[in-house]
Amino acid sequence: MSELKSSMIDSVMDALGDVKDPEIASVSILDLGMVHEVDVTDDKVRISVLPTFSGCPALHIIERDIKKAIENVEGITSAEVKFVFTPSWTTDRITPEGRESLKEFGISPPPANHVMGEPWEIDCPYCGSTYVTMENIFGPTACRSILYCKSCKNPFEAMKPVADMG
Amino acid sequence: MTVGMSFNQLSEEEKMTHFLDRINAGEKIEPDDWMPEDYRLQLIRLISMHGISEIMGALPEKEWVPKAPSLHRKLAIMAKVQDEMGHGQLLLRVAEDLMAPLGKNRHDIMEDLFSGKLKFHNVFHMDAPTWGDAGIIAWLVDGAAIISQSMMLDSSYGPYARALKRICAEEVFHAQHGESIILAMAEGTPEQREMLQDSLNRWWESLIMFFGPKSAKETGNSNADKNIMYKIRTKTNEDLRQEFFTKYIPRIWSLGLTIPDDTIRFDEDSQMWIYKDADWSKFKQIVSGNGPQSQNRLDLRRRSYKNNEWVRTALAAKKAI
Amino acid sequence: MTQETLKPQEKKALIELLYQLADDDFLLAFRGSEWLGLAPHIEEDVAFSSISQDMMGHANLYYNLLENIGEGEADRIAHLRSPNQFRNAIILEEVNGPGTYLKEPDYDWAFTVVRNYFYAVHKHIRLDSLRHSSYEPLAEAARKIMTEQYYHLMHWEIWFKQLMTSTDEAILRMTAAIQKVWKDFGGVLTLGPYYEDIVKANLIDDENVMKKRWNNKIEAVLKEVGASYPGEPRMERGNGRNGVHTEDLKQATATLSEVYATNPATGW
Repeated sequence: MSELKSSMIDSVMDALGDVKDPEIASVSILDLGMVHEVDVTDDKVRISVLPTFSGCPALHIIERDIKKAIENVEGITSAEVKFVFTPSWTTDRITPEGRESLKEFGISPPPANHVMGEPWEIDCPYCGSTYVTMENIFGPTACRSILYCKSCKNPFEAMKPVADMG
Repeated sequence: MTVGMSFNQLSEEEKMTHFLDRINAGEKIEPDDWMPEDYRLQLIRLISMHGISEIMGALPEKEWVPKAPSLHRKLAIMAKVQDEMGHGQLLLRVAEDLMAPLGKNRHDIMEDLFSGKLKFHNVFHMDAPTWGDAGIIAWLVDGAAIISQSMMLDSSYGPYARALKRICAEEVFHAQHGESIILAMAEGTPEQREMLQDSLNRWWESLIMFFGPKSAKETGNSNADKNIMYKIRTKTNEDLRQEFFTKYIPRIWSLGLTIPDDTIRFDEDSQMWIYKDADWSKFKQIVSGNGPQSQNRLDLRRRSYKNNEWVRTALAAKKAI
Repeated sequence: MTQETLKPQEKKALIELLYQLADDDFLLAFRGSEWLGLAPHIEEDVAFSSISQDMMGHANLYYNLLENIGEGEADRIAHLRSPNQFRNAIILEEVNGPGTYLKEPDYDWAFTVVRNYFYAVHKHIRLDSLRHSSYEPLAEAARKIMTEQYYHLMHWEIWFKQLMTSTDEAILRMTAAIQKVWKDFGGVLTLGPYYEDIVKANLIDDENVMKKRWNNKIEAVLKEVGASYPGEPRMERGNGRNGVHTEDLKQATATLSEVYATNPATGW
C-alpha cells in the first residue's frame, strides 16, 4: 500500500471515530466494531458496515453520519456505505474502549467469548456488584436487557451477548 | 458530625440540614440514604408520572405502528414505541424503590392509574387521527420531552439521573426519526403538506401545555418550586417553554409551516418569546382524565389488565412453588 | 448460487420461498404489534414489542432480497399486493381475538403464546437449514436472523412451559389454544406447490425433514409439561402457500397499507 493511501485510510478511520451510535452518544461505530472494511481508491472511499441487528432502524442515520464525516476528510470527494452481514457482527467485536464507554453510560458490556445457549454473568456497571437480577431479557433497544442491582439499587442495562452460531 | 455519634441520633432538623448540604454540594442521594419525606413524595410523584406517561404515551403512537407508510417507517416507529415501554419499566423500577418504605408496589401504581389518581402527561390524552400526528408527536412532543428531561440529568436523586442519561440519548434518536417524517411530508405533495399543517394546528396548544403553567398561580400548587429547591429539577416551566420555542419555532417556520398563533414573536427587549398562553382550565380538565382520548386509552389498559389477570395469577402461582 | 447463476426454474422457486418467509414474519409481526400496550405486564410489553420489531426487520430483509432479484420495490411488495398474492400460512394471519387493536380488544394471551412458540420452534429449524442454503444472500441473512431469533425462541418457550404447568385455568386455556392452533399449523410446515423445485435447488431442506424435526421437538415439550401430542398438525382452512386466505388477511393488509396506498409514488 502506498504511503499516501495508508495515511488517507488513517484520516478516514479518524473521521469514523466521530460517528456515534445514534442511541449511545459516547460510543462510536468503531468502538462497537461495526466497521468491516475501508477501501480508498483515489478520492473515493468504500466502507462496509456490519449492522448490529437486522431490524435496526438507525441504519439510515448511521449511513448519513458516515458520509457526512468522511466527505469532510481532505482529499475525499465521495463515500459509499454498504451494509453487509458477512462476517456476522458479534458482541466480541466491541473494543476495550467501547466496553468502558458502555459502562459509563450505565450499560454492562457483554461477556467475552460467549457461547450461545450458555448462561452469562453480568456485573453492575455502577458499583461492580454481581448481586444483580435479570428483570427483562429484552430492553428498551433490541440489543439490550434490563437488570437491577440489589447492592446499589439502580436499574441498569446490559448488552445481550451475540455470538456467531456457525 | 462528632465521631462516634450515629446519624440516627441527629434531630430531624439536623438531618435536613445535612441533606440540604449534600444536595447543594452536588452530591447524589441514593435509595437507602435518609431523605425528607417530602422529597421522597415529590420524587414518587414525578418519576411515577414520568414512567406511566412513557407507557400511556405508547398508545397514541401505537395507533400508527401498523399503518406507518413504509417498511423503514414501520421499523422506526416500532423501535420508538418499544424504547418508550422500556423507559417506562426502568422508571417504574426507580419509583418502586422509593415507594417500598410506604408499603406500595407496582400494582398500586397501576391501580392509581386506573382510578385517575396517578396522572399522565396532557399530550397523551389527545387525538392522533392522521400519520401527520405521528410525525408531530415524534418530532415536537419528543423534542419537548428532551428539553424537560435534560434539565433533570443532574437531578439530585442518583438512580433517576442515571436512568435519564440513557433515556435522553434515545429520545434524541426519536426526535431525529420524527424530523425525518416531517421533512418527507413537508417536501411531499400538497395533500401531505396539508396533513402536516393540520396536525401542527391540532397539537400546538398541547405543546404549550406540555411544560405546565407559568407559575403556581394557575394550578394552586408549587411542586415545580419545591423540586427546584431539592435540585430534582433546575429550571422553571416557563424557562423550558422558552427554550422549546427558541429551538423549534425557527425550524417550523423554515419548513414553511404556520404556527396557529398570530401573536407569536420574539421580543428583542425582553429576549423572550411572546405567545398566546394555553387555556389552563382546559389543561386541568385534560389531565384529570377528561381529554378527548383519556378514557378510551385508559379503557384499553384497564380492559387488558383485567383480561390478563389469569396470566398474572398463573405466574404468581409458579413463583409460589 | 448468486443472482447471476440462478437458472429460471431455480429463480421461480427462490421467489416462492422468499415470499413465504417474508409474509410469515410480516403478518406475525403485525399481529404482535397489535398487542402493544395490552400485554399481561409491562415487562412483557417491552419484550413482545422488541420481538415484533425484530420480526418486522426480518420480513424487511426478505422483501429486500425479493427486490434485489427483480420483484419490484420492497415497499410495494409489502404494501400493494392483493391478499391472494400473499404466501403466509393462514394461522399467522388470524386475529388475536375479538375486538380490534384500537377498540375493545379481548385478545387471547394463551393463543398468542402457543402460536408464537410453535412458530418460533419452526422458524429456528427453518433458519438452521437456510444458513446452508445454496442461495448465498439468503444464507447470509439467515445466519444474521438466527442470532436474534435465538432470544425469541427462549422467550416463548419459557412462557409456554410456565403456563402449561401452572393454575388449572391456565392449563385449560393453553390446552384450548393448542387445539385451535393445531387445526391450521400444518400450513406453516409446508413449502407449498413449488416444494419440489425449492428442494431440488437446494434452497432449503426437504419439508418432510423439517416437519419431522418440529414434530419431535413439540412432542417432547408436550410430554415434558404433561400434555398429550395430538398427532400431525392439520391445514383445515387451506394452504396459504397457494394464496388461500381468510377475511383476517384482508383486514391486516388494509391496515398495513392504509397510509402508503393513498400515494405510493410520494416519499413518506
